[in-house]
Amino acid sequence: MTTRVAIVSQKGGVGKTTVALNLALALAERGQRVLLADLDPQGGVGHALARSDGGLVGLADIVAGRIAPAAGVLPTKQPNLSLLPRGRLAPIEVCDYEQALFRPGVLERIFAASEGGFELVVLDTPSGMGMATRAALRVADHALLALQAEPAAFRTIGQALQVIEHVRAVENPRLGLLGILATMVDKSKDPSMGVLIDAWSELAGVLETTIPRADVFAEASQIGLPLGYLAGPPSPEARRFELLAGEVESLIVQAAGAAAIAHVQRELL
Amino acid sequence: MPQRSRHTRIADDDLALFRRVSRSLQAPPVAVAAPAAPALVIAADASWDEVLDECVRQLGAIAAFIIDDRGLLVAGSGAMPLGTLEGTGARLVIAIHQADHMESAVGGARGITLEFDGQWLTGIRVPTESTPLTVGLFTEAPLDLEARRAVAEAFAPLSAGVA
Repeated sequence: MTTRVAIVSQKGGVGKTTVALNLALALAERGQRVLLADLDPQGGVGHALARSDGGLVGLADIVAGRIAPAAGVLPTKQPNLSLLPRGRLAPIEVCDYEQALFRPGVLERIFAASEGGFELVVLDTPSGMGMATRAALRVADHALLALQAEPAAFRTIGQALQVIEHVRAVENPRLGLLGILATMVDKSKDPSMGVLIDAWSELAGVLETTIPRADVFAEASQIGLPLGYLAGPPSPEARRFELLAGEVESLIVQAAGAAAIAHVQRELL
Repeated sequence: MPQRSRHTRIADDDLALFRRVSRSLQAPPVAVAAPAAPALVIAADASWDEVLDECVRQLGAIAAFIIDDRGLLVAGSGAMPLGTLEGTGARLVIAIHQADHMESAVGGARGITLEFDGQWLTGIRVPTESTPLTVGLFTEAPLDLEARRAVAEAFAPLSAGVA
């Protein structure tokens, strides 16, 4: 059985693609067979790996019927990790593409045909709670909500929470909030720490692991590699993703256990 | 003027919303309220005709019938002539087949509900080892999901040996 985790945020520039890429790699290195799917029409995953815009076939080609779903899956040099890139998509086609993704059943059929053999699918989504993100939430088992540790981001987190709540109530009852992940945390700055303190003390499901703001992310982006593949000894930031992968794994197991308990209770009653 | 939290100066109303939603989303997705009484209680050894009779009685249906995938009536119960049920059933099977081909369909159609003047016709597919059967129900109000599932479950043991 495949578990799908959508990385979402109501705000742009919070590090969703960085989280998706490095988390997927860390999970793969822990032995999970992982598919990283890029639902962002901008193709963030491809750009993070320094590929030219439209250089890889993928989801957009599947949606347009140019290739079969399985043909969009690209193996990587990490044997447990494969990519489903955005694919070839002209900028003027983005509206049509998002509408196609949003149509009921489209994404479900694509994943059903392409995710065989994978234990986890990590869905990278565009900024905001628009059609591509909603499409991802419709097919996901879990949402991982990236919260930039800055007051403006915290003030708008309700937008994402309300959309997740709505999708779960109306469109996908399987969906749960796996957690809220604080990103771009700067422990030397009071506003950033203030967000962490408020989030940890007021919200449910804020992860223990946080992702710091650090120059190494820009260096990795410049070279087009995930943090763990940079030369030299593993950076503390790369180790953060190992911690995050462990926490995410245990939360998925915990959520599956909670669902099983709820199922037993329903049967007994 | 709403009070502000100490660190992020977020309005208390907003914070209360975030708190409520984040907590509700932590609960298991399927942990819903305890189910009400079963929509349909059928004896384990009931025959086709008895299950149809119970559908009419317990669900308050005007008529209930079973139709095979060719549109031929297998059995019927309630206040409608069998000839009417057969003609209705044949069209119902065609309608479900058409639903299978809708572009937005995810997998095959499990059933269909049609509204007429003051009556509802519901068709529920019951899988068998070969071709599916369809249970049809005329009711004065639409059947909810639980009742439709109960009907499918009631017929499932009977259809297990149908070839």
